[in-house]
Amino acid sequence: MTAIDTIPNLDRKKPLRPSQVVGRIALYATLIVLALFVLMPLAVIILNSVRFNDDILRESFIGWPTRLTLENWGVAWGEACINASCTGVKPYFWASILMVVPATVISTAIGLINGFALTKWKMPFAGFIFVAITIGVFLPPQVVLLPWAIALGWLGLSKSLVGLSLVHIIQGTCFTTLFCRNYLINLPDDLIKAARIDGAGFFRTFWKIVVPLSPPIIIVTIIWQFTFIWNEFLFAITFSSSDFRPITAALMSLNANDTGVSEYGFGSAAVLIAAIPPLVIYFLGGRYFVRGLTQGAVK
Amino acid sequence: MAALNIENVWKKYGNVIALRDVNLDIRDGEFVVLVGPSGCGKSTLLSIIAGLEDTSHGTLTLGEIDVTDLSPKDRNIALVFQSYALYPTMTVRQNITFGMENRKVPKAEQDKAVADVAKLLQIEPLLDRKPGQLSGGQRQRVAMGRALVRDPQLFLFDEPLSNLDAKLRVEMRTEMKKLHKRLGQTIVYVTHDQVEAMTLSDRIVVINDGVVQQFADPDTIYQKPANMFVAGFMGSPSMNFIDVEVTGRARAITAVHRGDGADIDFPFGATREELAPYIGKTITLGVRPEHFRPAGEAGLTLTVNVDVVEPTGPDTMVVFSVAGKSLVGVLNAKFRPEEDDDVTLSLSLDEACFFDTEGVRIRGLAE
Ligand SMILES: Nc1ncnc2c1ncn2[C@@H]1O[C@H](COP(=O)(O)OP(=O)(O)OP(=O)(O)O)[C@@H](O)[C@H]1O
Ligand SMILES: [Mg+2]
Repeated sequence: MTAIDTIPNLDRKKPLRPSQVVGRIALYATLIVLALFVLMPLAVIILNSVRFNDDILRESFIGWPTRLTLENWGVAWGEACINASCTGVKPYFWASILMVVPATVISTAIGLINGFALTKWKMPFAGFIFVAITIGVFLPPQVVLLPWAIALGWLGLSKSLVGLSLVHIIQGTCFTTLFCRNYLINLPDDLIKAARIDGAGFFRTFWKIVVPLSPPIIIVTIIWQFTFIWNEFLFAITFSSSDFRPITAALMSLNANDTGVSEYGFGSAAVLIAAIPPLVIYFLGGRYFVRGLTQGAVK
Repeated sequence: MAALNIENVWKKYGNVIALRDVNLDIRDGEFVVLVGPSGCGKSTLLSIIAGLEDTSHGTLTLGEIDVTDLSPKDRNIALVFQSYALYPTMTVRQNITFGMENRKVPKAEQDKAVADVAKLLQIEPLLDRKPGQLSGGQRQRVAMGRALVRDPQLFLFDEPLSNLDAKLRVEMRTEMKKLHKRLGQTIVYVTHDQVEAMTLSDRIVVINDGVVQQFADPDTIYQKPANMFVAGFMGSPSMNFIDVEVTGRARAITAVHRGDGADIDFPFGATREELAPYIGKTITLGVRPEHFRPAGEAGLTLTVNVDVVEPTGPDTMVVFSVAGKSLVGVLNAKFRPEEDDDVTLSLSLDEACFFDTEGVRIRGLAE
C-alpha cells in the first residue's frame, strides 16, 4: 500500500452558473421583503412599549422613540385597569399559565398514548377511530362552541378554569393524536414485538420503549399545544368570567379605561407580555430537538 | 429444552392465506432451518410459534403443553429478529435485563445471568454502550445475548445473519453451530441462505407459498428432493431440468430429450427400474450442475457449445447448450473453455432425479 502524505484542499465548492447567481439573488430578495412584512408590526409594538404615551399620541403611532422608558411594562404588569379592576395583566397571566400548562401536558400525554395504541397495539377499528379523532382537526371552532357551552353547563364547569382546560384538552387531543400517530407509525414493529416477548405489557412498553424514543414529537406537540392554547381567543372569551379569565380575553378590555384616552404605551407592553411564554417555550424546546433517536434500533 | 409439535396450522391475513396446513414434528434439541423464497410464510410461521400472531387453525405443542393460545411471555421462547430490534435508548446491559426485570427476577440473579452471557458471547466490554455505538456483528451478539438470558425452551431466529457482511456471516455461522452444540437447545432458524441451511441444520423445512414442500435432513433434501420446487430451490446454481421421453423396455431404459435438430439420449439401462411405468411418457430429468465433469471421467459423453464462462475462484461455472437446450455446469477451476467453443463433457447420471408431470420426484424402488 502507498502512504498518502499530502492532503489537497478539501473545501472545494461547485461553482455557480450565472443563471444560478441571478436565481439566488432573486430568492434572497424575496425572502428579505417577506421577513420585513412579518417583522414590521412586531417592531412597531416593541418600540411603542418603550415610548411615552404622550410621544406616541403627539408624534405618530409608527416612529422611533425620542425618549426611552420602561414604565409601560410596570403599568401593564401590575397597574393597568381591566374592566375597572386595576391589577394589570398579572392575575390573567397566571390564570393562563394555570390553564395552559396542565392542558398542554395532559393533551400531549393522551395523544402519545393514542398514537401508540392506534399504530402498534393492533386495536380493532384503529383506522376508523383515528379518522374519527382527527376530524376534530378540521372542524371550525365556531361549530363546537354551542355544544361545549351545553356540555360544560351539564358538568357544572361553565366559565371555570377546569371547564376551559377540559375544552382545550379534548380539542387538543385531535391534534396531538394526529402528530403522535404519524410519528409512532414509523417506530419499528420489531421493537414492540421484542418487548412483548420480553414480557412487557401495554404501559410498560409505552414507558420503557415508546416514551424514550419520542422526545422529538413530544417537544413538537408541546410547543404546538402550548402556543395554540395560550393564544386561543374564541373559547377564552366565551368560557371565562371575572373569576377566571385567560390573558388573551383580558387584553380585549385593557384599553377601555376611565379616561377614554388610548394608552398605546402600556397596551403594547401588555401585548408583548402576553406573547412572551410561547416564545420562551419555542426557544427552549427548539434546542432539545433531538434527531435520529432510533439510530441503532434497526439496521 | 423441549420438542415442538405443529399440527394442521393455517394462517390467514385478510384474504391472503399465508400458511396452509403446516405439520412439523420438531424434536427436542434439534436445529431446524426454515427456507423458502421471499413471502412464502417463514416469518409468519416463526411469529406463530412465538405467539406474536394467532393461528387461524391448528395447534402448537411445546414440550407437553398446548401453547396455541398462550401469550408470548408465557411460552418460554426467545426470538432473535433479523433487525435485532435492540431497544435503542437502553444500554446493552439494560437490553439484556429488560425481560428479567419484567419477570421480576432478583437483581443478584440478573447480574449473574448478564455476566455469564456476556462472557459466553464476549460482549463484556460493550455492556454500558448503547446499540447505536455498536457494529453490526456486535449488535447481532447482543441480540443473541438477550435471547440467551431467558434460558428458553425454544430459540427462534429470523434471518439473524443476513445483515452481516459475507466474512462475518461465515464466522457467526460457525459460532452459532458451536453454541448449539454446547447448549443443546431446540432451535428454529429462518434463512434464505442455502449454505446456512445446509451447514447448520439437523433438518430443513422447505416452504413455498405457505405450504411445506419437504421436511428432511440436508442430504435428503439435496439428493432426494421431494419435488421440482425443492430440487430447483436448493443448490446454486439450480438443478438443470430437461424434458425427456422414457423409451426402451423395463430393464433397458433410455430417456430421450427431443431437442432442436437432434435428440439427446440418456441411457439408464437397468439402473432405474422405477421408470418402467413411465415408458412412452414425457417426464423431467434433473441433473445438478456439478454432475458435469471434464471429458474422460465416467458418465455420458456430451459435446456442447459454450455460451458463457464465469470463474468463481474455486470453480468455473459454464453455461452451454446441447441440441438447443441451455444447461449450467460447475466444473473445476482449471477448466476454462473459450466462449463459443465446442467442448466435450462427461455427465454422471448416478444421482440424476426424475419428476413426473406433477413435478413430484419419482422414487426409486428401494426407497
Ligand atoms: N401483517 C400482515 N398482514 C397481511 N399480510 C401479511 C402480514 N404479514 C405477512 N403477510 C403476508 O403473508 C405472506 C408471508 O409473509 P412472511 O413475512 O411470512 O414471508 P417470509 O417468508 O418471511 O418472507 P421474507 O423472506 O421476505 O422475509 C406474504 O404474502 C405477506 O405479504
Ligand atoms: Mg421474513
